[in-house]
Parts: sequence; structure tokens; C-alpha cells
Amino acid sequence: MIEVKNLEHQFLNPQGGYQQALKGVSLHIGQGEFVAIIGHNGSGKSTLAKHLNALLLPDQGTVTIDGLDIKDKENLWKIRQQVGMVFQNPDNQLIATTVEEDVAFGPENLGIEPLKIRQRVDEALASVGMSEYKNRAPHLLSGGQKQRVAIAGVVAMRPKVLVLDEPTAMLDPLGRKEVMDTVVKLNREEGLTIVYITHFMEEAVLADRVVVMENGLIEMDGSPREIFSQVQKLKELRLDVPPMMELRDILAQDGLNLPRDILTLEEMVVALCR
Amino acid sequence: MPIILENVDYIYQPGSPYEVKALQNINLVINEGEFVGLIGHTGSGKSTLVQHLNGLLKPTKGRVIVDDQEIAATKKTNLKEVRKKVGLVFQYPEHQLFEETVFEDIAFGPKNLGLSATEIKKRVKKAMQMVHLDYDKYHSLSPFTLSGGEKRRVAIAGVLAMEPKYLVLDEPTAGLDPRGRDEILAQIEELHNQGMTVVLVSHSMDDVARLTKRLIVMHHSAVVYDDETRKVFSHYESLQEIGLDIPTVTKLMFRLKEKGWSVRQDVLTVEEAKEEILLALKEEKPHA
Amino acid sequence: MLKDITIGQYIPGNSPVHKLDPRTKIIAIVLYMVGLFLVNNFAGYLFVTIFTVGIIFLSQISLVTILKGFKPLLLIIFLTLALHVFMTEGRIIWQWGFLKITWEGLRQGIFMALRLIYLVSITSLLTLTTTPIALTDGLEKVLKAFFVPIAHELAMMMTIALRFIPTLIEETEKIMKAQMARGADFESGGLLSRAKSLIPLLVPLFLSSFRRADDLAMAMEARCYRGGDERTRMKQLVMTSRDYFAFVIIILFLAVSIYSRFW
Repeated sequence: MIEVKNLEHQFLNPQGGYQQALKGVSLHIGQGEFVAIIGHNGSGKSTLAKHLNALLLPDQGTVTIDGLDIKDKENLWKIRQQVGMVFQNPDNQLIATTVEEDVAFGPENLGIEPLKIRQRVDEALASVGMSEYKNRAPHLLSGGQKQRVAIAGVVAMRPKVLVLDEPTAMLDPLGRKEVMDTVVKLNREEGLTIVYITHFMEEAVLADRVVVMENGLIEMDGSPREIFSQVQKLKELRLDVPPMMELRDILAQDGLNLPRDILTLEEMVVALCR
Repeated sequence: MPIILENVDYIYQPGSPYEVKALQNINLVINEGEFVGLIGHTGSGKSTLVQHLNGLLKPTKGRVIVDDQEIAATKKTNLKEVRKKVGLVFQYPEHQLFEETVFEDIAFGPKNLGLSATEIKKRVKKAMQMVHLDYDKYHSLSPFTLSGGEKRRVAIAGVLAMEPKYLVLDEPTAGLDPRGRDEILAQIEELHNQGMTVVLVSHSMDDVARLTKRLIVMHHSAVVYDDETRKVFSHYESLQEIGLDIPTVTKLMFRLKEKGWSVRQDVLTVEEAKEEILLALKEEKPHA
Repeated sequence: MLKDITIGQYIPGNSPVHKLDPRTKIIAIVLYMVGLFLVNNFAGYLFVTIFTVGIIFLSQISLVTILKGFKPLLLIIFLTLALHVFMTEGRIIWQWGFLKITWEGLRQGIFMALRLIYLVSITSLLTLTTTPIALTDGLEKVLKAFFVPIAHELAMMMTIALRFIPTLIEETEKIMKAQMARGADFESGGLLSRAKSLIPLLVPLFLSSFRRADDLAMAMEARCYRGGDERTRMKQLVMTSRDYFAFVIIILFLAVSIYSRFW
């Protein structure tokens, strides 16, 4: 589905010099996968994400989506239709004065006929559980609701991939849960391929696969269990460790050995009671 | 002297069809030297409450007393004096930066207090030191060229330069990455150790569990718990009912207790959990 | 304080005026204005008054709501009245020093004030009975019909402005409070010091607006926005017999207005 090869990208930084944001990233993401990308600010996560729908173009290397090269100008709108994007700030991505008009914005840009847009908008709003708010003005919604509308706006374009760039960074715990539940549902039920950038490891744990970025490169890549069991390495990178993993780790230091891949609270209870 | 809230009610747009009761009969005392956590959902009244602490909002009913200054609906209070004592750091404080240099921005507060140039410089230097920004390196830079975490520290220094006795922070780590978050929290802890009274509004149960001694929980415009942090988190079920979580390790202890382990349930950190588990295992291995 | 500003405020309803196509309403308003500026005598004004009150009655919007809209305009209306009353030459009714009131001035002043009042009433009736979306859609279509080249862009700008006004008001209050927490004073002092005290408010507000504009542009591009050319709309505007009837009425209004000049 997504093929990234030796991707490099550099920016002009505020001090006037060049800064290498991506230093040769290669990544393959298959159809229907749910990939979480974690790493610090400035590690290159967002820059990578913006290449996936050609908001940025590679300086070196290639990115192909379903076989389409993002550098090819002719593919631009097809790629943007296939790879939908949701951004961090819920206030800065809703365009229209009502929820349903906003969700219609994407399909309208694609030139779809009015009756079909109506149908898609209704379906998309239902899939994120926002149907009853369709005539509401965006500024009257909570943060989590705004992000769900933003997701619906992308879903209405019928994409194959959904890229979310820290969609929960500005939300409270309830909003975070709303967004995460919606994303998981879209992945499991509609088979959407998900690329999810986050700082919250409790969200990354729910993905099929976790990619850790550091300093413009991919540092680790594996299942949540594989990644989060490497407690020392994560601590060196100063990333968060799930509390049960951390507990297992310090219990091991005191001579109590439990299975290495304990991820959740229930698994810890089972392991301790054995 | 403490900050005292007495029977405080606050109503937004009273008398209009949009009337909203945001605070209901709040009674609190925040003593000098405390580190208090404040949690609750968006809309629970937290933000309205913190704006009462430095007189940005005046109670509709009841009164707020900051040291010897009383704030009440009909009373004229020297609010400048109150704001000098209670520093309030809003969410995303870097969004209020406006000056051309870091120095000028941090100096904004002290200038408003009418201090002399030498005193201002002294305070800016001290405030920058408190948030670990090197004066020589940063003071002449434009705040807008800095990284997100650095900008936030400049903004916090801008409040610290007023030399408040009480520091109130509304989600100071929102939107930061784990490294930035840890740095800011470590600095807040350090400030508290140097004698600052701190009120920390947060959504992160792990952070308040680790840092605060006392925890205030708000729900539906009222204070529902105000106790030692440890004791508050032992109300696992009622907290869940109002949709608030407790630290994962505390939850683990509850589950182990259910399984027949004899462990304390007021555990707050991973270290404490380890001690409890090892202790319980040493005494006898329970079979559940 | 800032929340009292109501731009493009829409009051939901089911009146014949609400149900009209926005294009009809926009064109009708233009024709109404022409009529309003053509009438020049007592009979003409009487006719326009009856017509205007009739339309407001039809819209089921209370007169009080419309009168509220005059608050910020009172000064202008009063000045117009005063200027005409005192400055027009003619038969003198009353004189005191250089101040004099003439019969012609009184007549002219009242006519001009009425014109302003009716103009504001009818335009606020447009925003009160039309949703912002319908209004921008209608405007885009009407402008396009008259070959205005940037019709779509203008309509898009209006939509975005309407969407972000509440957000920016909220933001202004937040920044104001944050600066007040640092001892800023927005209320006391002379004109100059007050203007100066706005800098800590305006700079962050501008910066955040630019940041928002940047984010929004990126979000729009990501959702395949590429101008108005290949764009379709979910909600189509449809003219019904009601609209044609409205056109007949407004043309009759215009005809009577012209005819009234010769009474």
C-alpha cells in the first residue's frame, strides 16, 4: 500500500540554516495495517506523514502509494483522495459553518454529484457517531467531537489510508478516547489502513505495529509487545514506557522473573497469580 | 498566609438565557508551601476556579481572600497586588508571547509592576535561571525562533519574573512530547522544593500521583474530593463513576487485592508497587 | 463583552421570506435599494414604508430584533438627520443665530434618515432569515451570473470568516486574560497608553491568526481543494414558483417607486 524508500527531506530552519528532517527513511505499510509512529518533536514523524499525501515532496528517495509515485504531478489529486489526513489542532481544520457542510467539503472538491455527496456525508457522520450533530456549528463542539468531524470529512472522500498527525495532542482524556475508539473502529470494521502519530504510548499500544523515530531515522520497528518490552532502550530515547512494562522490568531487577511481553494490567495480574 | 475561598459561586452571564453555573459553593484553603493537584473533566469548573485565585474572575457570591486582599462581587480590590502574589500560567502559554526578544517578553510583567530597570534585569535573569534557560544564550533571541518547549519555558519565566508566592499552572505540559513534559515537571518540582506554593491543573493521573501531596477533584462545578492524593485515589469506584481514571499501578493493586493478595491499595508509583508485590510474595505466596 | 457581537446572525424560521432562494433575496435587495433611492415625495415614502413593514411582518422576525441592529448606527442616522435639517436652504421655520431649520431641510432630513433605516432593516432581514451557507452560496451564484471573476474566492473568504469569527473572539479573551495575569491593564489610562496596551494583545492574535491560516490552507489542500472550477455542491439551490412570484412583486415595487416620482 505505502512504500517509502530512502526518503530524505530538509527544511530551512528559523535561524536560516538547513536542517535535515529525514535522513533516509524506508518503510513498507501493507493494506489494512494499523501503524503507530512515536518519537520526539523534531524526530521527523510529521515530515514523514506529510509526504504520504504529497503535501511535501521528497528531496531524495521515493514514496509510492498503491503504486503511484507522489512526485508525479498527474497523480496528485488521486493520491490526496486515497490518503486522507487529520491534523493536530481541531480548530484549524474545519472549514464550513456547519458540521455536515464541512464533511461535504472533500467530496465537493472531488466533483462528485450532489445526491451522492449527501449519501457519503450521512454515512461518514454515522461511522464516527456524529450524525445527530450534523447541523451544529463547529465552534460549539468539544475537542474530541471536532476531531471526529475532521475524520468524517476525510472518510467521506473514501480514502484507503488515514494518516493522523497527533490528533489527540490537544484533547482531554475523554476526547482522546473518543478519537482512539473511532480510529480503531475504522481500522477493524472498514479495513482502513491507519498511520497514527502520537506521543501517548497507551494509544500506540493499540496498534498492530509501532515505529519509533529519532533524529530523522527509524530507530525501532515491531509489534507493540516487541517495542515496549525494550524498557532500557525506550528510556535512553526518553520515551514513555507502559507502566506494566516498567514494573515488570524493575521486578526483574530484584530477581522476580515474569514473562518479557507483559503489556496490559490484566496480563500482569495473570502472571503474578500464577 | 493562605488563599481562602469561602462559599464561592460563579455564574456566567447571569440573568440571560445562557446562564451557566460554573462554580457552586466552593470552600478551599491553599496554604503556603503546599503542592496541590486539581483534576476534573473539561467543563467541571477547574478553569473557572483557577481564574478566581488571581482575581481574573470575581465570585458571584462568596469571597476569595489572597493573603490580606479580599475579592468579592461588590468589593473594590487592588487586583494588581493580587496578581503580583498569584502567578497564573494558562494553557499553551507560549501563545501570549509578543515581544521582539526573550528578555523583553519576560520583562513585561515586572515592567507592569513599575519596577526599576536594574530590578527588572535582576528578575529576568533569575526567572530564566529557574526554567533553565541560559541568560547569555537566549536573552537577545526572538522568542518565535525557539522550539515549542523553549517557548513554553520563556512564557513560564514571564510569570515567574513577577515573583509570585503562589504559582498556578493550567496543564503546563499539554501538547509537549515526553521529554519536554518531563523537563517542565522537573522544574515545577524544583520550584516547589525552593518554597513556592504550587497548584497544578492536570489531566494526567500519573503526573499528579507522582508530584502532589494533596488532590482536589472537581465535578459538575463542585469540589467532590479534597484530601491527600493517596487517599483520593483509593476512591477508585466513585472516581470511575465520574469518568476519571486512577494511576495504572493503583489499579493493579485493586485487582491483586480482589485476587486475595494482602497489598496496600494506596500505591501511587511503580517503585511503590514493586515494594508491595515483593513484600506480599515474601510473606506467603497466595493461591487464587 | 465581545460575545455581544452578532455578525451574520441567523434566526431559524419557516416564513415565506425564510423559504426564498438566497439568490432571489440578494437580487430583490438590490432592486429594493434602487426603488428606495428613487422615491422622492411623501406618497412615495408612504408606499415604501408600507411595503417594508409588510415584508418584515411576513418574515415573522420581531421588530425588536431588527431595532436592536440599529444600536451601532444611531449616531450616523442622527448625524444625517441633523446635517440635512440645519444645512439645507429654504423656507425658515425657526432660527437662532446661525442655526436655522428650514421646511425643506426637515423634509430632506427625515427622508434621508428613513432611507438609511429601511436600508439597514432590509439587509439585516436578509442575514436574519438566511443561513450563512445559503447566503455565501447565493452570493457566489449571483456574482458568477454577472461575470464577476473571483466570485468563488469571495464566497469562500466569507465562509471562512464566518467560521472563524467565534474562534477568534474566544482567543482574544484568552490572550487578554493571560496578559492581565502578567499585570497588563487594558482599561485605564489615556488614549495613547490604551492604544499602546493593545500591543500585547494584537501581536499574539495576529500570530495565531497566521498560524491558523497556515494550518487551514494545509488542511484544505489535503482535502483536494483546488479552487472553484471542478467543485460541486452538496446542497443545490432550487428556484420555485415562490421565487418567481417574489420577482414579480419586487418588479412591481420598483415600477410603483418610479411612478411615485410623478405623483
